[in-house]
Amino acid sequence: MAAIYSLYIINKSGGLIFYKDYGSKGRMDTNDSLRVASLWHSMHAISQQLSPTTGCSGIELLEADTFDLHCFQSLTGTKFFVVCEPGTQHMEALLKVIYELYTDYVLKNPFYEMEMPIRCELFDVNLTQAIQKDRVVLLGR
Amino acid sequence: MGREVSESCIDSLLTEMVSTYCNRFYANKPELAARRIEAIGYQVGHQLSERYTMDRPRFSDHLEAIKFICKDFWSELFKKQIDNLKTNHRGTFVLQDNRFRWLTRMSIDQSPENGASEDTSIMADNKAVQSMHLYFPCGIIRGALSNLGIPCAVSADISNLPACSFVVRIKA
Amino acid sequence: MAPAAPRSGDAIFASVERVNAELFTLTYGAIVRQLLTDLEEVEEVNKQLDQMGYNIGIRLIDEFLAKSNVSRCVDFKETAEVIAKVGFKMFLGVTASVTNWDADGTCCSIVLEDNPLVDFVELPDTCQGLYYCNILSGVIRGALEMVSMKTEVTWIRDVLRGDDAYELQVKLLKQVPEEYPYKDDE
Repeated sequence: MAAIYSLYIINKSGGLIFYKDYGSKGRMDTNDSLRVASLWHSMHAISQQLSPTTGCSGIELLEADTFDLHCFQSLTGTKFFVVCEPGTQHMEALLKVIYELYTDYVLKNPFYEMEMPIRCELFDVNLTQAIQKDRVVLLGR
Repeated sequence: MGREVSESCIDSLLTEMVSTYCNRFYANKPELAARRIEAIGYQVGHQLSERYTMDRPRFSDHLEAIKFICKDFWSELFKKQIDNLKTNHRGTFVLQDNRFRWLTRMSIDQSPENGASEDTSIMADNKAVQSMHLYFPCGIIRGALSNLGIPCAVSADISNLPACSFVVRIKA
Repeated sequence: MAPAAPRSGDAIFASVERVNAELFTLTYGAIVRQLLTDLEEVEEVNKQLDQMGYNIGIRLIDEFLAKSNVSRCVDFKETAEVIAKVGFKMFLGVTASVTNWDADGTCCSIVLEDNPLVDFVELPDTCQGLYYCNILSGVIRGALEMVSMKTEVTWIRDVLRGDDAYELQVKLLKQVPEEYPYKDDE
């Protein structure tokens, strides 16, 4: 069964506002995760510029030997991306679910200030549920 | 079933109302902000109790009116009843909602990452905002009861979230 | 996997958590009334309601996008249609129509015949000049700004002022292109 390694959320100016590790592989310290986030933000922007097709919305999937990186950018500019075992299925659907949880449990939390790091227990709880393997499988239906 | 709107509408409106009064109008005067928010709730409670009691006989005593708040009134607003009602039989009633809807999306930041000193101030801050949000439902209950002829004071206790207890003290 | 198909306003409204509209309507009314007491000037209240709407809109847009699966609109015409048909429906449970397009497709009217904000409302004489529903124009302006569209939203018709419908004029001022975030020399 394929595994999800980590999840990142980047605000529209490129700041990492959420990072979570799942499982043992690919663990990172805070500095590295910040680096990955800012690197991805720039690469994503550059890919939009370099794309031969007009209206390209940036890289959606990066496949490497040891991991896949799936990225979803909302129309408001927030980016969500998961790093997972190569070949993991249903990641686009999972990212949409995460975006929805973000709108429910982060943006509706009266204590959350826009663009700031996310520290919302309820978001964490719901995220953990959504990311459980058996739930992710259901997304394929 | 009457007309409905998405829950986000009321959630957004309440959040914005609290932030308007606490952060913009009365940033340094929380007690004034609290009074305004309570007053808005009071008006809503007053109007709603008028509508929801239209077809019923007069309440014979305080307990009956409180029970109406716990059952019919609460169901209209939150699609559930108050879970537990206690009284000391001397004019104080405690209405507990085990999962109060308007608190279900509030997570309080309890992470220790910020360093201890800063953390306590953030916690205190969050607590203050949270209690600001509760002045509104307290106002609703007070408005409803006073419209039923029961002057009272209402406060809220959220020491075990997501449960919320509303303490009603009837004025003799 | 194919991208999820956009959902209709009806389908979303049926699936989201809903509440008694009376509570919402009366709460909004009580807020407007309290603002009138606190700010005294009707003009100030209009401004404040618009600001509140703006603050709501900049958050609500993400929920709208997440739940509707709406993807990038090809032009402002499509944007206006989506607001009217999906946006109003999924939050307020009513549909609006889009009319009065100008020649270059940057200005139109959103017309609401049914508006839950104003159930039970009659404006007293002392409130002439109040745009009671001004929060709505703020929400639209805030939401569109988050998807790179600067707009100006004004009331053209208002039933509370004696007109036969609610009409909001939405004018696209500037479409800010998503920018490459770095300059070449950085």
